[in-house]
Amino acid sequence: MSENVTYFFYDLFQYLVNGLAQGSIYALIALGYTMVYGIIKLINFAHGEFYMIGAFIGFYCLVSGMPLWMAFPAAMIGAGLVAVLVEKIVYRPIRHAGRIPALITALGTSLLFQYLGQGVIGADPKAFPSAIAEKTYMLGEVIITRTQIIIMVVTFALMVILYWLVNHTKTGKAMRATSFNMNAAELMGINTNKIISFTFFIGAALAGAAGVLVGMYYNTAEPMMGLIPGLKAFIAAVLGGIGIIPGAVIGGLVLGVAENLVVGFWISTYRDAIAFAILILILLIKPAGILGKNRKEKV
Amino acid sequence: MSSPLLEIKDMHVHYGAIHAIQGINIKVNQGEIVTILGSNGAGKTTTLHSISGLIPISSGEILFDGKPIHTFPAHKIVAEGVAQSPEGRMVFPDLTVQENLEMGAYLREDNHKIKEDLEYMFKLFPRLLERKKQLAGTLSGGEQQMLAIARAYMANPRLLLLDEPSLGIAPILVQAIFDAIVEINKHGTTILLVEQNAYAALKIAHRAYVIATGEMFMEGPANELIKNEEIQKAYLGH
Ligand SMILES: Nc1ncnc2c1ncn2[C@@H]1O[C@H](COP(=O)(O)OP(=O)(O)OP(=O)(O)O)[C@@H](O)[C@H]1O
Ligand SMILES: [Mg+2]
Repeated sequence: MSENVTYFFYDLFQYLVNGLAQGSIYALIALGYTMVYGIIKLINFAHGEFYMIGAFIGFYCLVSGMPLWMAFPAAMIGAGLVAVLVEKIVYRPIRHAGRIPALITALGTSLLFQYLGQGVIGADPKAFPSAIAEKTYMLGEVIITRTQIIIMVVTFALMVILYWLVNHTKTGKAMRATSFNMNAAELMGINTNKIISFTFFIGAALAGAAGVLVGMYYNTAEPMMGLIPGLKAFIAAVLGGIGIIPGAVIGGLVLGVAENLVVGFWISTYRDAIAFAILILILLIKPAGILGKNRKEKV
Repeated sequence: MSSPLLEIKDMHVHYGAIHAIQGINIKVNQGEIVTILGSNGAGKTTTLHSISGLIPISSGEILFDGKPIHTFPAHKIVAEGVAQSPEGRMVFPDLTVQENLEMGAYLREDNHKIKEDLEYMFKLFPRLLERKKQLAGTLSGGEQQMLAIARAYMANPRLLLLDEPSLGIAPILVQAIFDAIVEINKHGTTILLVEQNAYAALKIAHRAYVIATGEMFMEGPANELIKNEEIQKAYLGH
């Protein structure tokens, strides 16, 4: 093999590794988008803020000297509880008001948290403590960092737990029942409000986990950090087929890898536009998303 | 005399400005099969939804075993002992037959009795046993109807509400489903059956109510209504 071809493959694998790490983050956030959409048909644009809140809970826990293994679940639970409150106080009262009011409310909630964050925490980025000693591993010429490995392993573990929860527990089955039809679920004796709260909790806890992982990856956290990843995760959810849980994972990984490949091999200036280009492309070919069944959506 | 298991007193229901139920009274005694008949849009589903707590009533009372339940949320009414097989079946398409039945027993902890009831349902509807692991969305309409009834039964209700179990189902299966309803009733469950198929319903019911545009049109023992000329003209196609 000529040297050029070898380097091409090293580059390719490097972008794949970076893309999978990045994509894992998108997938973790996208899961909450898709689960909440699946259950109450709400595009929760404030979901990116749960990720930001998770990052800051992790930040303050670590700064106060808490070990990572405690700060991490604390960030997940904290973000989850904030989401439960947001659902109860903000979304529940307008649940039957229609889609446009719900969408506007979600946007407002998102802005509220961004500006609240700037007011309370300050707009300047905080240096996220490096909770673990960074180390790099070489696979040939391909570099993989310890944080990247942690991101991928933790994401994978959380997804296995989520899969088990949704498919093999009574509560998970009740979630699926509720997302099919709320009245039918109530007729089983399922308290659908509780199930919806629980869904917000799980979705936001995953986003909170992503927040801490990103804090560790880029060593920074700031109140606006949820905006772009939130949008990308939304794109990932739509890409995979919104409302479909495995779709969020596939959408996230596809988006992460595609972004890194395009940026690496081609142009780096339009990184954030690439996500939208991919979205438009896939939706032209398959309007319901990668795993979506092409049935007509009631909008 | 013991009080009725279900008693609806002067119930009114509105959908916005639409006055869908205009003061109806219904009684269902322990052990009975009672049927509510009426044509399209008469208010039959609305009545069952109100009993189940899915639609709030505007005035009147719903007493279950003497206790007012019309302010309860729907899932609490199941806990009181009222289960419903809804119109259009509403089985959970992405859950298996078995999982649908588990959802029916959602509030129960009595695992032994759950297993007994499950076996009883599989005996009553052998098709469900054969398709236990199959996704409910892949069942035929008739099989989904059987599943919807069995799922409601799995709540171990004292009162079972059935909304048009014959809707859109092949005639041979309709007979099987009505036989099953009689069998469930003989086994000890009180049944309130909503039907457009008036003849089939009157044949198995003890008593019947006929609703027309939200008002009570007629009521009486089923074997009398089946011979009533007005009923025959309006609902039995004679
Ligand atoms: N969600 C709703 N919003 C407004 N009006 C409704 C709604 N649901 C039912 N109605 C109206 O209430 C009346 C009673 O409807 P209901 O569904 O109870 O009739 P039904 O007797 O069950 O009819 P069918 O035999 O066709 O099922 C109808 O006039 C119907 O149009
Ligand atoms: Mg009806």
